[in-house]
Amino acid sequence: MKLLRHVSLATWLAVFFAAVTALVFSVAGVHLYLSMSQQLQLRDDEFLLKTIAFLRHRLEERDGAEIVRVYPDRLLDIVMGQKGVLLAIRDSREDLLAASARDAMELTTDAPVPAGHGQEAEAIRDWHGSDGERGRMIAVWVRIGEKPDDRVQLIVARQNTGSAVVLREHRDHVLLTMLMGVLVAAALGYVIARRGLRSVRALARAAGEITANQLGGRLRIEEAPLELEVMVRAFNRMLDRLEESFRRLTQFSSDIAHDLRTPIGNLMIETQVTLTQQRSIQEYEALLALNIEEYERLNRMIEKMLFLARADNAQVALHKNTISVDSELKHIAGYFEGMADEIGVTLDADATGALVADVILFRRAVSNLVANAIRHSPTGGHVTIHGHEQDPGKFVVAVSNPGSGIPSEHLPRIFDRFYRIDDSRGESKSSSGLGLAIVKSIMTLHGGSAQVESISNGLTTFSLIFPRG
Amino acid sequence: MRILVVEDELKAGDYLKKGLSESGFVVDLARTGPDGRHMALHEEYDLIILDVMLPGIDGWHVMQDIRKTKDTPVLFLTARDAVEDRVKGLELGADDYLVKPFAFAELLARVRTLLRRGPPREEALIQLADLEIDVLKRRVTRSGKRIDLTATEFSLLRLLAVRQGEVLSRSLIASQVWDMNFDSDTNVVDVAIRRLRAKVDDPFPRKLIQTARGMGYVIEDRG
Repeated sequence: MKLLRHVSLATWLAVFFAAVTALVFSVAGVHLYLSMSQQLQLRDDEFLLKTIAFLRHRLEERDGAEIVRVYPDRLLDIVMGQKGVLLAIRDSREDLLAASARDAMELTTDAPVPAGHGQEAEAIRDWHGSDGERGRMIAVWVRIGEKPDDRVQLIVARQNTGSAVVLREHRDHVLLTMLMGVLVAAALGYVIARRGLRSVRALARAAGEITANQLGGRLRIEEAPLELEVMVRAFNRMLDRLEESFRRLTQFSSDIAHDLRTPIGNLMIETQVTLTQQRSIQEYEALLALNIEEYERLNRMIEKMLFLARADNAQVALHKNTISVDSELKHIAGYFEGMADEIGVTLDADATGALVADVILFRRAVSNLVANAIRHSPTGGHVTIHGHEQDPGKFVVAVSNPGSGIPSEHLPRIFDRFYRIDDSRGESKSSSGLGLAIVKSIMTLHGGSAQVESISNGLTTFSLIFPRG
Repeated sequence: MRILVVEDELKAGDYLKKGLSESGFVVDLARTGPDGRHMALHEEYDLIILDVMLPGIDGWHVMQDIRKTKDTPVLFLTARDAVEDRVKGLELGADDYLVKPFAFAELLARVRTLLRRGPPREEALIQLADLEIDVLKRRVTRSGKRIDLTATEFSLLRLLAVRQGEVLSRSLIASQVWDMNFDSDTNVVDVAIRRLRAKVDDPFPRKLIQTARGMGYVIEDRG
């Protein structure tokens, strides 16, 4: 099969066309040949019957016996002029009375039928001559004269030399026509297939021009034949997705570079400034401690990027268990209670039902949302964490906080990596810009999704939608 | 206490040796798999810290060879934080593992735990200076004065007290007290420590809960 795969589609089609043509020609040819040979045989048989009828007519006349015994040549004359026709006359004891030729003397039969009873047609048989001739023969008993018990055997054979030649010619003709037809069909098939596939080549050429730097190119749908339209559309959609992923990836890389460069730059400058002159031990210690904090932040960021990269490649193994959502959410609320309390924010968690999920990832996703909600709540605000089943097969965990809200233009990109609503607020110091991306990744791993709704100066709600089961 | 460190990375090996020596251990350093195996088999150590990625013979094989004759505790270090790696290490007979990069305080805590051989003794009454923790009754007193703690504050204080003198990193605290096994960017642990201090340390002149800058927290009577 491997070898055949390299044969072009046009060649394949040409071969198929040729094969189909050959098949059609053979069936038609065989049919014509058979019907022709049948027709020729019918004509031969008719001749035999006519000859027999003529001879019988002559023998049944009053002088029949005399003719047979005295002037058999008169009977033989009837067939003499005809090429390939043999006649033998034998008496009731099967002794030869007369023969039209030497070959005719060998004509014998074991089953002559009485003439004039309508059995002649069935009595016709194939005949094989001693020199290899082929043909048809008939043998009948014929009453001579007016005596009912006086009879002779008439054996007539007709060699089908003529019809055999006609048939052979016919067969050769059919074979030749077939060969020509097959060749013409193959050639035409090849040309047609190549013409038909021209649009495929055009598409391939267009596809070949699309590179990583020029992902903007698309195949033109109007140039594609109807059958390929679906494929072209699918291909274009695939390019759309690729271009988007590629764009994100490029963006991600430059974001990583930026997000790593800034803290590393700070570390370098702080350290260089400290080293410009002698300082007290306390100052060195303070610098090292400050550096450690920055390193830890970088380390956490790299851990997050690794998590995202692995989640993208579905390399994060899920350890799914049934989670009692209420106790899990209360546990998370307990974790954040102190932090919320410090800034005068209250927390409230409740849920009904259970959910099958990876508990560590579940905690991580919900914790990221809760940490954000507390950060963005005004003093005196109230953060709710609520879990409930929603229409068949879904479980929703929603985290809401009051506040100024997220401007609607940011909502579509809020789950993107390194997407921060406002860099100038110095938010980047406390947030890696990866928290929500991780939430989205965790939900994708679970076959669910993450959503956000935000009302200006009202509630902002992030929802995690898990599939049940 | 003698510790063998098998680590091929120059800087990492030097700092492990320096850090552990300064923490009061006698440290030998091997830089290749064959050296590490030879030293592990022919010298007596209380603990072996083994890097998985080693030139010559990798950590897995060194560990297998050690386990054929000795049951010295082994702590392995792996850069790959794939689950399979950890499982493999533990199956081969390692006692614990750490994923690089790790906090030095974390390593020190693990080393001390392993050297104690077996789980830390569950004392019913933990004492430090004038602080007394009655684990069973969940009662905390200082200079005889009763201190009311929430359940979380009690677990946090108990964790610090059980491992007094050891610097506990924020992620270790989050994982032990709240079972949160991932690094978060929040100051939850700092807030919890601050609140615990307000009850345990602030009313008293002697401060017990110390901040190890850049590393974590430790409970210790520094006089």
